[in-house]
Amino acid sequence: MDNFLLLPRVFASTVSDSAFAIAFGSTVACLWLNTEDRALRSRLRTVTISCLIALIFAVGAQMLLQTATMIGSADLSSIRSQISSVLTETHAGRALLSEFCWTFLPLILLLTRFGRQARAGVWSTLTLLVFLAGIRSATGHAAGDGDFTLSEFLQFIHLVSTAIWSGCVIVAGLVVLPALIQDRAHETTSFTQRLSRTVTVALALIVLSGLYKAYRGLGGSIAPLTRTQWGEVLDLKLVLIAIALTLGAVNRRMLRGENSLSSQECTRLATIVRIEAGVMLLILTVSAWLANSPPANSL
Amino acid sequence: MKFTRLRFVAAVLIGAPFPMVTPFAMAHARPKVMVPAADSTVAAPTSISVTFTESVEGKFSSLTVTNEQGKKINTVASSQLANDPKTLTLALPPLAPGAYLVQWISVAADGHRMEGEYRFTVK
Repeated sequence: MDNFLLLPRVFASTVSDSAFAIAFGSTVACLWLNTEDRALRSRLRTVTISCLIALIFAVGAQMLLQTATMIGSADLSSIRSQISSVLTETHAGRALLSEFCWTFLPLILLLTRFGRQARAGVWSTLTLLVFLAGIRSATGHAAGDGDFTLSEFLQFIHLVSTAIWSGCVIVAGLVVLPALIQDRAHETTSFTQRLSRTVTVALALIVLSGLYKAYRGLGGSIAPLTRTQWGEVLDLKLVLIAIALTLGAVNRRMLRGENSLSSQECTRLATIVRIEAGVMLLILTVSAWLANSPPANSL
Repeated sequence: MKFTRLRFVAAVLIGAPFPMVTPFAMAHARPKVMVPAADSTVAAPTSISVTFTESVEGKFSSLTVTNEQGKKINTVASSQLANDPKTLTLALPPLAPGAYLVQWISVAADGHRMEGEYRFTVK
């Protein structure tokens, strides 16, 4: 029963987590671009809007899957008769319903004229996304203790810092750098330096909150790392994180100098960030698997 | 660069104490205390109760008792204690001597569902 509808749940969580992270990353990336660069900023806004729409569908799917999990049946008529009870009378259901409704706010904002403003619009969207991270922290394992707990606060820190790390790297690797490296070496250098500095701070917070989550999930012992499925998936996540960190370190080394990078170096840097973006997507998938499996300490 | 290091140190100082002060939560509710206990032999109980490792969603969590023939014994549904969201109770009709199977379903606050069973014997 622990693995009931596991694959659909992991898939919906992966889409939800990735969409949230990329929406967050593309909003943050807007702050690092020249305000005159309207074409790229507009592309990033489109990415954010697309991700928020994907997030709404993913959370909608999670509501159905949550209901199916709670009633222990994938029968559609049973789900239909119980979904309102799940969404209004249970903690997990209320959290998902809140997330679903809140996601419309940044989406609507981005579709307004105010949302298109270079600074005020971006900061307002980012504020709404931070609140959305707060709501998202009330779902999943962190909610085991109830609301407004230290677990949820650390989950919130973890979600925001992970969204910054993975979202910014994915957006940089797949959207921003391919557009910048053509003939704008100075902007490429400036953008990646900001990316590198921000990611360093986010990483510190990820390591701290991640250690706490792993410590909690493993029940204070490292033995389950090799003895349980949850521990083995966590091992895989740690390997992927180590790969992403190594790629990030290689880029950071290239950016040490004060001068702009040569076009050859820009191309190399963009390639490494693109690979890092791929690793990030794998990390988000593995994280979704962990979030939907019983932690080692509950076995 | 200096500012980045400063922020890193601040993050470490703010974050480091957290793992030390927070108790564990299991996120999946498993039976912790069962009355009567699993595999015990007891005088006929008028009710059974199961206390889980964490709070459960009362509406989607349940206890059911069946006899050796697999016939459901309880005539009412289990309920959650008002003052203890971790505990479910189930009133039972008079039980004849024999073995009984308790099947439990728990849905924790994070929405994850678990189920299992245990036995007790009435002497």
